[in-house]
Amino acid sequence: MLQVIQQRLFTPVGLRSLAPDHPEYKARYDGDLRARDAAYHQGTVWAWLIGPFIDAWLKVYPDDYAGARRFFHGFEVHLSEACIGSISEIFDAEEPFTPRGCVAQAWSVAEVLRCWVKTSSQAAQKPADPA
Amino acid sequence: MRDTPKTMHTANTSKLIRRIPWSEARTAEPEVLLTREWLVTNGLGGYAAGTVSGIPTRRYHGFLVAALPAPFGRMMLLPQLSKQLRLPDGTIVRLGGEERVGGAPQLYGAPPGPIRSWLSPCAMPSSHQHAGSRCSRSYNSVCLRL
Repeated sequence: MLQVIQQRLFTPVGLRSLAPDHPEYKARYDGDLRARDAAYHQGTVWAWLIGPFIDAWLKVYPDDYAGARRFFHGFEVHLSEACIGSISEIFDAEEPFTPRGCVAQAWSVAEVLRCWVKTSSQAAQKPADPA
Repeated sequence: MRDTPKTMHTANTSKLIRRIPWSEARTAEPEVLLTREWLVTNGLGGYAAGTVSGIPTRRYHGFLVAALPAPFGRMMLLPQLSKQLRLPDGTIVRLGGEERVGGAPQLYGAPPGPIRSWLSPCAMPSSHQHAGSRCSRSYNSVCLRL
C-alpha cells in the first residue's frame, strides 16, 4: 500500500487527494470558487498528509530516517515562496505544484515540523520508547 | 502520541531555527516581491502580514490585525504605512511600494547600500514576544523597526 501511495499520490509537497488516473481527478486548483471547491479533494495536494506518509514509511522501514528525510526536499524549497518561512494549505496536483489556499496553514506546518523532528539524528539515536 | 514524546520535541525543536536566504538579484523581480508574503503572529489571535514588496495584496494584509474582545473580533487596525527616508543631503528615498486605485503596483527602487536592509525582517513588525518591554504580549500593539 505504501508503494502505491508513493507512486500515485506522493508529490514533493504532500499527497494528492485523488490518484491522477481517476475520472474525476483535477490537476489544478484554480478558476472561480465553484471550480476550486470541485477540485479541493479531487487531486489537489494537501501538505499535511506528508505526516501520515512519513509515519507509515517509518513503520515499514523503521531505521530509514535518512530515506524519510528525502521526502522533505519540496518543503525546503517551498519555505522561500508564498509565505516565507511557512507552508501553504494546498498545492496544484501537477508540476510546478503551485501553492494554493491559505499561505500559512497551521496543520501543514505542524505535520512537517513533527515529522522533521521525528526523523532527526537525535530521534534515530534515541532508544526505543518503552511506552 | 506514543512515538513523539514531549521530551523529544523539547530537545529537538530548540535547534529548528531557520534563516531564509534571499538573493539581492530577486529584488528586481516585481512578481517575486508581490507574491512572497510574511506573517508575524502576536500570541493573542492577532497578527501582521504583508508582501515583501510592502504592497498589500490581500484584504487582511496589514501591520496590526488585532483580535479584540467580543463583540469586535479580529479587526484591521493599521492597514498600511508609507515609509520614506530623508538622507543628510536632503535626498528623499521612498521604501517599499504602493498600489493606487486603478493603477498598477508601483515598486520603489532599493535604497542605496547602507540602508538596503529595507527588505530584511527589520522592516517588518516584531512579534510582541521579541519586541522588548515596551510591547507586552498582553496588549494589541505593534513595534516597527527600520
